[in-house]
Amino acid sequence: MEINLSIKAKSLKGLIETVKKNISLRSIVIISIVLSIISTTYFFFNDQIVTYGDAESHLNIAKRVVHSITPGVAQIGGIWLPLPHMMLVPFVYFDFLWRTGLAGSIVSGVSFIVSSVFLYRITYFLTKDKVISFVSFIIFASNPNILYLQSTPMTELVLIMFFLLSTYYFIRFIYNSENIIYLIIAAFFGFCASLSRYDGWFLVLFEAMAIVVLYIGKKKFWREMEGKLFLFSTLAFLGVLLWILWDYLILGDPFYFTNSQFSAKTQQQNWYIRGELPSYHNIFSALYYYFVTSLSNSGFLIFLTSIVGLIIFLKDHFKEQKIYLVLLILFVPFIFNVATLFLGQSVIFIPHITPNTFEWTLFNVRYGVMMIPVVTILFSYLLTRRSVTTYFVLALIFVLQFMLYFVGYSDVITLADGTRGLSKAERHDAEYWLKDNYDDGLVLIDDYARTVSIVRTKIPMQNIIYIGNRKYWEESFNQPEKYATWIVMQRDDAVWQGIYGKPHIQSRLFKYFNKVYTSPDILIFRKIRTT
Amino acid sequence: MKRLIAILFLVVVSTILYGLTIRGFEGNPFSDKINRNLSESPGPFESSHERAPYALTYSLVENGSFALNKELADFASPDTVIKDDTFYIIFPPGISLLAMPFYNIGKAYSAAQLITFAGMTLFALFNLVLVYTISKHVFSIPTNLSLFSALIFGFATTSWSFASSLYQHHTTTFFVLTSFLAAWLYKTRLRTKWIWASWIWFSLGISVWLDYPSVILFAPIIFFMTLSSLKLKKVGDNFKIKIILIPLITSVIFISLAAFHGYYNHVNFGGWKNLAQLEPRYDTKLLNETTDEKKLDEIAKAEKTKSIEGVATENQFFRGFYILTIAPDKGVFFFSPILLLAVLGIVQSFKVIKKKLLELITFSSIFFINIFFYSSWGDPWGGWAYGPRYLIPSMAVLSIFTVIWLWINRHNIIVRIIASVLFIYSAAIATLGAVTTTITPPKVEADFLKLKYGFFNNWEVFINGKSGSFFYNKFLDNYVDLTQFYSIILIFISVYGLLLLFIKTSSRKDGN
Repeated sequence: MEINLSIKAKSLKGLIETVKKNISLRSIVIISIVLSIISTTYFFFNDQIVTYGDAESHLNIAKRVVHSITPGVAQIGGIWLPLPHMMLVPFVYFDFLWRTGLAGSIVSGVSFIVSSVFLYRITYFLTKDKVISFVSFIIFASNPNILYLQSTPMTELVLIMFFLLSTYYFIRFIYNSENIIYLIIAAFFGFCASLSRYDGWFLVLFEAMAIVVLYIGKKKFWREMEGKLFLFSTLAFLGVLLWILWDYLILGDPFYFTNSQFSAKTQQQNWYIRGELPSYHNIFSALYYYFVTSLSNSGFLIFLTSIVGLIIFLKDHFKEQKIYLVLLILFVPFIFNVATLFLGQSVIFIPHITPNTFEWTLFNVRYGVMMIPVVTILFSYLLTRRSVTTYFVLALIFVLQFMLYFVGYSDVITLADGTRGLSKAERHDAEYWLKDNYDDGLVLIDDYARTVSIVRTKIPMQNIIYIGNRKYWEESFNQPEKYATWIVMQRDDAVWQGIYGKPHIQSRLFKYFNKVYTSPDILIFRKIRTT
Repeated sequence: MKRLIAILFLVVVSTILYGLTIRGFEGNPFSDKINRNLSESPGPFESSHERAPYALTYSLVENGSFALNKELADFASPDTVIKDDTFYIIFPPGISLLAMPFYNIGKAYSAAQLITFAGMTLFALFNLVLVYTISKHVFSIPTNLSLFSALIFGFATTSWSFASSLYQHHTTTFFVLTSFLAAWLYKTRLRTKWIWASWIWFSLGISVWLDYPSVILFAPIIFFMTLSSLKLKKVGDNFKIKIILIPLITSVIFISLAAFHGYYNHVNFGGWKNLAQLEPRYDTKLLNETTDEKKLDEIAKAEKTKSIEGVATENQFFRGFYILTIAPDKGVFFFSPILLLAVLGIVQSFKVIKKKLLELITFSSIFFINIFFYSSWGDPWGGWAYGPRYLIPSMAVLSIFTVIWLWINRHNIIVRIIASVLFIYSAAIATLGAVTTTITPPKVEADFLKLKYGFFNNWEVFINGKSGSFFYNKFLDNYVDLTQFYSIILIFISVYGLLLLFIKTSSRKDGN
């Protein structure tokens, strides 16, 4: 009992050649555009574009640059780095794109497409093989965590784009150190990365270190290295300097981004006091946390296979000094995240290893997506072992990984964090009430407390008074009625403490305002109408 | 002839060892009056995992019913469920069905429990022969080391504790190992492919009746068979692809058995995919101890909304992997460190035995899938049990990879010395479990109950001179103490193992 089939060797070869021929940057752009549109559409119709609290904050920061009671570049603030918000500005100008979050989808989507192209180019540069590079792109572009984040206003995809752009040109420079154009372009994109997320600061630092290492042992070490290092650093570190200068000029403290009450460091201190900062000054915990977070973002099987890829990669290039520099740059996200966890500058909670006794077991897991590019490169590198068994096993792993997602074994962890983790934007009943009852006038609100979602209400951004509208904000704490028609406060937020918590201001509040909404934690006041 | 004698010797020795440690007592529980607490520990019914299948076997033989009466339900609790005021055991009925003939034989000799348990020992004995056969014939490892692999699996791992019991693990291991062997025979034998393919599907179908999760252990075997059914050849300018349809046709055996199980579910639980595990549990202890009506309502509500969703998730993997590998209460390498050598064996075998690459991938995949699945399982501990009972199929696989590593490094005396030490240590722990009790709390529960966990608990039982062994309690108790009994067994296993390990190893027949 058997079936016999016959295929002409020529036509099979022809098919393979056709596939190879069609692998081009154009095909990558087309596929990534299609994937981007499909996933954004899917998440849009599932109302999951703005699930993260931070996602709305990014949209609002950009919106205030163009539409605010005090519009202008100063609205960019001094904690989050400015470039992703500046990129959002042209799109959030349109209310529809701002309120739906699609402004962010456009920016992240474009970043996704550029990232796909440059991931392909990096892999091609390292392997000189179109198919391997294409596989690397496919693994990256089909990763559900990447597809989700590229649909949202979160800043990870922007960073990945600049990280890959800078890395690509820096690798080109490593292998052709006479061509300083590569170095300048790498520095420029490093500059962009350093203005996107703080991970970028590590990137330029490690690239600078790699320049030094590249020339170690050479006869004219200092002479050759000096010029390149200064050329690179002048541009690459400019972003860091500008940001420090910005914080000094606008907010009065050059290190406002780390010293302010709104900084990540301050937030981590709260966790520390509660005994829920497991990686603080514990290097093994920091390594373990980021390892597991990277694994969960990359896909369980894909990640484990990429470890085999790393071993093979190192074995193949054992004697090449330059390859270690390439790996060092590709692994910068790992070094950065482990370092920040260790120093208590960031925190990750992931249900795989976070104790159940913690209040939250899911938070900030999206930091792991930064490892996806290097994981995909190392996974696809295994294809350099040109055997049918290898192709077959890798294809099987890829399919099995999707099955793990499909049967619910693995979560799309970034989406899970946005929908049920601590990163989720809380949606209080007050928000629905305000959406139905807000008519007109200025609204005084502590935006940092995220009492209500502004994008989900009908309030125009020009009608919001928050801490960034300094004059309006400060005066309202003495004379609440001066500007605001509405006052929204949540227990212990700045508005609550500044108005409701001070008896003499509270009496003034009740003189001019009616309490129109009450819940155990949220109060909404409306100015008494005068006829 | 020599080889036959060697195998016979292994079987005889193993039968004696299993016989010495079988747990039980005389008489026919439920039919006769037994003057003891049936559930007392150490004893054959110390775990509800043994009581429940026995209760069903009794019910099937004596009452002709899958449903349990109240007395049997109370006996099997908490591994009982309730559906429309009728009690069932929570497990699939396969083990109980397999045990029926042994129960009948035992009942005739007023030893129903003993013979029923001994019946399951047959599978453990078959497994030893299978481990030997796979090692010897599939991977061409010399006879002495192949026998040593059987000895490791049988008496240097915690599989021993479950060899004479109504746990499903040895039967599952039996069907997995025979299927692997059948898949290899399917690949290498031209005329008997029908038989081997049929056996693989039959084993898979039977496994549905025995233990649902074990079905996934067959995935690499089915894959192996499928790949062996595809032949690609270049003839002139064409690629010729031959697809053998035997696996497709014989799969009807599996479909029939699975469908029959679906029918069983339909009749007893109201739907072909309604499993007993999803019905509300009947836990007499909980019912007796909980007086709060509201709490009982909450429990009942939770029990009625059970689902298989989330039984295995990535979130649980890291904890489970630690528990099943190195944790002091359950870790397979903590209880049987000899198996650490198997990890090296897996790595080295791929480099050395290149001609058997597909076989190596398939066989090691059984271990990888086994540990991957149960690491992700909500209860990786397997309740109160001695060692990681879910990994018993893996113990068989790892025993073979251990001797593969020993064979690869056969010229290195240090390797043998290390193996000797690890073997004796592993055998000592395995023997401790076999002569005392199988119910040992996991650390998480032991800490709460202020008990000892893992083999530390068994050590305490041992020090107190308590044994579950029928043979020791019935015949030897008055003549030797438990320490002597234990020492004799351990010394015997150690000497036998060392002899096998230090006999001059011949070369494998097929080279690499």
